[in-house]
Amino acid sequence: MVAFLMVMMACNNNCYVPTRALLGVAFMDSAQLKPVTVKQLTIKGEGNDSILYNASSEQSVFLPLRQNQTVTRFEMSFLRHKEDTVPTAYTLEVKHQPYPQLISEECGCVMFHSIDTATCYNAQESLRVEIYSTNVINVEGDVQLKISL
Amino acid sequence: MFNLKFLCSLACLLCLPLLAARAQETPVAVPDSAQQPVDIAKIAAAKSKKSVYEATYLSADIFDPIATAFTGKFEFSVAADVSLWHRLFPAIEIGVMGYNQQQEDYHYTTAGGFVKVGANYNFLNYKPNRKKDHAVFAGVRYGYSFTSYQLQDAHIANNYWNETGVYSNDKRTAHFGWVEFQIGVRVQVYKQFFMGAALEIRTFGHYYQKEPYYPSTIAGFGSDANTTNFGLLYHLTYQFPTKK
Repeated sequence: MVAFLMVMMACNNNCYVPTRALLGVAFMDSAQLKPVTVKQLTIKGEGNDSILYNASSEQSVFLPLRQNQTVTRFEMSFLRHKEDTVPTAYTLEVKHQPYPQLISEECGCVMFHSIDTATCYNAQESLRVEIYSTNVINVEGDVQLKISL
Repeated sequence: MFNLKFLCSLACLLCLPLLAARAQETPVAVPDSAQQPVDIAKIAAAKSKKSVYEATYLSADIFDPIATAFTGKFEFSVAADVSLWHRLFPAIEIGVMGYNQQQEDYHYTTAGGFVKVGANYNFLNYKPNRKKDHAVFAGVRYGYSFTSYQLQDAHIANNYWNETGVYSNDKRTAHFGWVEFQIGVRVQVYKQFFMGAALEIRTFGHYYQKEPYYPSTIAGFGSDANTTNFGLLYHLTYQFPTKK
């Protein structure tokens, strides 16, 4: 009976949780303090040709942080004001501390991050960035930064 | 975590002590000539007399040590409880856990100890003139554990940034508490020897201090501090001193 139970226990090799830790960034209306949908949003990592978001409309985005460096920059562009027709470019710079974490034997290891600072700027202005949570872990939909527009 | 396999194993495990108890209670026919006169006064006195302290029980969990052969994680615990009116059983349990996971893409070690304090309440078979000290109980515990943990040689890749590497953490110790609910049975199989099984529901987990990262397995609680964990106990128990 005991051997039967042990075999059943050993046979469960499935992973049921996310195995990526992504930085969640939400866009907020600075006047109404409510989530706002930004349009024509394009995001890619600095120095990386692969586009994460391509001219889409989003209230929040989820971005991969670098694991071998403590600073990650993203190039963003979106329609800054309702009347704009041309996207405005910004740089999102995040300073963070990566640390490896074992999720479980079935899921393996994932790189988590602890956020130190975050800024969003271009040559004309700096947007207000609130660090809502410092921990970037493997929870889907988790938001760490809120950018006020 | 909670699937058909788990339900089947739980049903089998909880039935085993009951089957063992039934095997001990074989009725024996007594011829009429051998029956003794009934002393009604003694029976009435026994019924009216209820002692508070009845016995002390010492239990050892045998499920987890056997599971070590299959899972690689070593766990062992012992418990002591006191019978009050054979209704209320204050209990204390202490245990240890050790887990050394050497995999191709990481090496993770965790070890620690835990203590649980609480009480069980017996719903059946509590009358003073009972023949056996079986019990069907529900209980609650508060658990506390300290767990040291370290991740070494973790191979992690980041496809978007095209980064790979081998990473390690410093060794740390986490202090953790939780609330636990138990339901189970304990049956007297032979004289002072008992067998028992119980289902544990561990929840309301909380760390005592903030850490940059936490263990993946917590001694006495299990994995994932943010969820409710289920556990099975299967123990052998000795009752002393005897109440009779």
